[in-house]
Amino acid sequence: MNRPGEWLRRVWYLLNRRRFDEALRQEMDAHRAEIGRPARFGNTLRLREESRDVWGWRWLDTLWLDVTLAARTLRRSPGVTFVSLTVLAVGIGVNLALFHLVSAILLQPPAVNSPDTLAKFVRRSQGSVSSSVPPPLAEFVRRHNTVLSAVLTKGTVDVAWGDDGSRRVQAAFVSANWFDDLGAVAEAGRLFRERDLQTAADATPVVVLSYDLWQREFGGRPDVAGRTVRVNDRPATIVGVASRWFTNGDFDYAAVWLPIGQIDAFFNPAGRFDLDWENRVDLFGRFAPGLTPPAVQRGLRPVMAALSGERPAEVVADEWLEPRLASDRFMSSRDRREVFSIVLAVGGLTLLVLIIVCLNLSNVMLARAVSRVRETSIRSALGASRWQAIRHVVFEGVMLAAAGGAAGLLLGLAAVRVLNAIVPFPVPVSAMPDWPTTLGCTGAVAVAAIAVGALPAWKIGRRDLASAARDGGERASHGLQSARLRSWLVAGQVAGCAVLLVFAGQMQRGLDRLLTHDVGFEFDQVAVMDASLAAYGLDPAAGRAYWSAVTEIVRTHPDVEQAVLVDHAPLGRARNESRWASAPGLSVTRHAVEPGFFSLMRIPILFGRTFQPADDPTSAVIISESVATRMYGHRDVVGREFPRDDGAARIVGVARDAHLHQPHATNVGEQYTLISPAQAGHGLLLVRARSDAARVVGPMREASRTVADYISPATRLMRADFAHAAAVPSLARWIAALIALVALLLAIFGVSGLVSYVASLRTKEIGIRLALGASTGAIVQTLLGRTAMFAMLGAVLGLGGGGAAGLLFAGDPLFLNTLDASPYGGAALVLGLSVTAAALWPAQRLLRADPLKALRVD
Amino acid sequence: MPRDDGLPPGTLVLLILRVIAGGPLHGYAIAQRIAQLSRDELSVEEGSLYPALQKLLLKGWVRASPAVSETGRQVREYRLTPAGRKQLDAERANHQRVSRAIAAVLESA
Repeated sequence: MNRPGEWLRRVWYLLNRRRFDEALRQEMDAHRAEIGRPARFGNTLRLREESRDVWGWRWLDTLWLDVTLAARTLRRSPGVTFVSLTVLAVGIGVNLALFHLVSAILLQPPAVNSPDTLAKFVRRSQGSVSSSVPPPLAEFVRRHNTVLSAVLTKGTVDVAWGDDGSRRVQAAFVSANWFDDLGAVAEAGRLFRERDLQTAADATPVVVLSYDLWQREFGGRPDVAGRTVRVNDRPATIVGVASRWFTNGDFDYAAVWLPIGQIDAFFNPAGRFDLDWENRVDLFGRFAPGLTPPAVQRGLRPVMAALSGERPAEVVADEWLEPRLASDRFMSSRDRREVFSIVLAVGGLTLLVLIIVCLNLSNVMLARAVSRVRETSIRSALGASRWQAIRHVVFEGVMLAAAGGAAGLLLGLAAVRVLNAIVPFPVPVSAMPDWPTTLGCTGAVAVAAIAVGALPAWKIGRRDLASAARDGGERASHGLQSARLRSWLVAGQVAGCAVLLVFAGQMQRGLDRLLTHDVGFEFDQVAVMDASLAAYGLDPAAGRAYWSAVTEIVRTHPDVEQAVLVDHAPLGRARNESRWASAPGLSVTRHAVEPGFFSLMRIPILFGRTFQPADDPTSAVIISESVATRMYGHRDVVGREFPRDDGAARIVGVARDAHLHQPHATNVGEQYTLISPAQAGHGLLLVRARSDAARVVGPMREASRTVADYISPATRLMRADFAHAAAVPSLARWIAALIALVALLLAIFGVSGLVSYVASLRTKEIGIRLALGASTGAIVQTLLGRTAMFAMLGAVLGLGGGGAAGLLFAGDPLFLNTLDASPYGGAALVLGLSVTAAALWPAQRLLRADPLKALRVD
Repeated sequence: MPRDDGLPPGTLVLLILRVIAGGPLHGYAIAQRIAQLSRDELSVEEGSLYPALQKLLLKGWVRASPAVSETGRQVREYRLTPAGRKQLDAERANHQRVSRAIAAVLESA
C-alpha cells in the first residue's frame, strides 16, 4: 500500500476541491441524462457528498461549519461577547504578566556562558558560612587547583564618580578574565579582555560602563568609548558599555566594571588590595570539562588544607569551598526551596484570578446555553446526535478562549512593558514571551476553554432534549436556572475574591506598620558614612586611628548631636544573622556597636544598662525584648547567660525591639555586643544631626578629607535607606491591590449577572405575584435568597482561605500578620457592600417595572 | 432491471478495474459495460459506483482526465495506472482462487 502517495493525493484533492467537485457534478449530470429515466439516478447531492467523504476531509468541513456557526452566534450578541472577551483577556493577561516577571526575576539563570559549569564558591567550615573570601585565598585557589579551568573574582565597592566626585556609584573590580569567561558582549565600544590588560593596550586605567549608567549619564551616546572620566578623583578611560542583558555575576548591581589589577590606581597607592586578608571578594570558578559540582568540591579540599597549613591564622583546618551553580542562580538548596515556595504561592494566587474568571465566564455561557435549550432540542429532534446538538456551545467556548488567550497575551506583554518602564527591576526583563510564558498562556487558555465550553455543554447534554422540544424548553431551562451548580459558581467567585481581598489587606497593613508605626528606632535625622577602609589597604589599627580623628572633628560641629561607630549600618544591605536553638523560629541579627548607639538611635534600654568602655566585647551582650521573651519566657533577664544553653556571654541589658534591617519583620530580634578594636577599624560612622541630617553630610566628608585626602567616603541619609527598604513591599502591595480589584469587579459582575438572569427568567411569575399584591420584600427574597446564601458561604470560605494564604507569606519578604483582624473585617465589608449592591441593582429594576408589562413577557 | 443484488460483495472494484483495462471509460460507460458484459445479470448502482471511483482515484489505481461523451457532454474518463494494473492482477488471482475453493466445497457437498 502506498501510504505517502495516498496522503499526497488527499492533500492535492483538498487544494483542488472546487475543481474536483465541479467535475464530479458534471459527470453525474451527464450520467443522469444518459440513463433515460433521470429519477432513477437518486439524489445527486447526497451522492456527491458520499463521494467526497472517500477523500477523508469531512471533519474539516464540519469544523469550518462549527467555527462559522459559533462566530455568527458570538457576533449576534456583541455585548456579552465583548464582556466575556475582556474578562478573559484581563484574567489571562494578569496571569501572564506575573508569570513572566516571576520567571525573569526569580527563575532564569544569569545570561552567561554555560551556566551549568560556572559556580560561585562560598567558604564553609563547621558552623560558619561566608559568601565572600579574602583576595589572597582566591589567588591561592587559582594557582593551585586542578579542577577549575578558570577562576574569576569580583570585589564590590562604592566609588566617587564624576569631576566633582559628589556622586557615588557601585563599582565591581573584577578579574581580567571576567568578560571573556562569562561571554559578555559590548553594547558600544569594547569590553576589557585578559590579553589587552596584559599588553600595553589597556595599561592606563580602564572602565566599562553598565547599560543603565550609560543611558543615565551619557544618554546612550555610541561614541562614549575613549572618553576620560574621574573615578575616586583619578582619571580612567571608558573602553565600552556592557550589554543590557549581561547581568553581573551574582546579581549584585554594578554601575561600572574595572579590572581588579588596576584597583591601586583608585585607592591608596600604598594599599595592596589583592594581597589584603582583610578584604573580601566573590569567588567564581569555571569547572574543568566533565567535572560535576561534588567532584569540584572534593578537588578543592586539598587546596584549602594546603592554604590552612600556610596561613593557620586565616584559614582553619577543616574549611572547604562549596560550589553554587549559576544555573541555580548561585543559590543554596535552602534558598532555592524558599524561592520555589514564593513562586508557588504567587502562582497559586494568580491562578485563583484565572479560576474566578473562568467561573464567571462559565456562568455567563451557561445562561446563554440555557436560553438556547429550545434551539438545541429542535436540532436534536431533527436527528442531530446529542454531541452534535451541543457541539456549537463547546465551539463558542473554544473560540472565546482562543481569542481571549491572544488578547490576554498581548495585554500581559503590554503590562510587562509598562511595568518595565516604571519599576526598577533587579534584572532586565524581556518584553517578548519565552517558553514558560507561552506554556503558561497555553495552559491558561486550556483551563479557560474547559471552563467556558465544557461545563455548559455538559449541563445541556444532561437535559431531556426531546421533552424540551415539546414545551419550548421551559421545563428544561427552569431546571437549569435553579441548578445548584450556578450558585456554586458564584460561591467560588466570591470565595476567590475574598482570598485576594484579605491578602491585599494584609499587605496594606504590613506596609502601614512599616510606614506609620513606630519601627523601634528613629532614623530620620541620622546620616551614615562608609569609607571602605579595607579597600584602601588600611589595617584595623590604621582604620581605628582614621575613625577616631574623623569622629573627633565631626563631634565638634554645631549641627552634630552624637556620632558612634558600628560594624553594620541599620537599614543597610550587609548584616550578620544567628538562629539559636533556644529561640526557635527567631532570626537574630547581630550588631557590634559603641555604647552611645542606643541613645543615638533612640532605642530605650528596658532593663539593665548600656555598654561601658570596660566591657569585654566577647562576654557582654545586650539583647532585644523579643529575644528575651522567646529564649527565657520573660523580659527581665539581666545577669543571665547568653545564649541560654551555652553560656558564652552574660546579658547586661535588654533593649526595646528595633528591627534594624527588616523594619516590618515580625519574627526577628537583635543581639548587640560592644564593638571590638578590629571591627571598629573597618566600621561605619553613624551621626545624629540636631535638625536635618542632610546638613551634617558635608561636614562629615570635610572631616574625612582633613584626616586623609585620598579616601573618598560614601555618605547617605538613613531615611533614603528606609525608603529603599519600603520599595519592595510597596510595589507588592500595589500589585496585590490591583489583582484584588480585578477579582472584586469580576465577583460583582458575576453576582449581578446571575441575579439579572434569574430575574429575566422569572419576570412573568414576578409580574403575576406583584399583580396579586405580593410585597417587594417577598419578591426580593425569591430573587436573591439562594444567591445570597451561596455568596455568604463563598465569603466565609474565602476569608479563611485568605488567612491561609497570608500564613504562606508570614516570613521574608512580606512578613504578613494573619492574626491582624482588620484585613478580614475590611474584606468582609467591601465584599458585603459590593455584592449586595450588585445583587440589588438588577432586582430593583425589575420591581420598578410595570407589573402588567412584566406579565406580557413570554 | 437487476440492481446490485447480482454483485457479490467486494467485487465492484475488481469489475471496474477490469472494464477500464480495455481502455478509458467514463462513469456511465463503466456501468453500461459491466451490465453488458454480464448480460444484464450485474448492474452497478450509481450510489456505489461514484464512491468506488473516488476510492480508486485516492489509491492511485486509476487516473481521471476530462473528456466529452458520445452525446457531447462534459465527463471524466478513467484509465488504469500501472499500480491499478498490478492491483487488477492481484484481485483477479485472488477472486479465482476463492471461486475455485467455493466451487470445490459446493461440488463435494
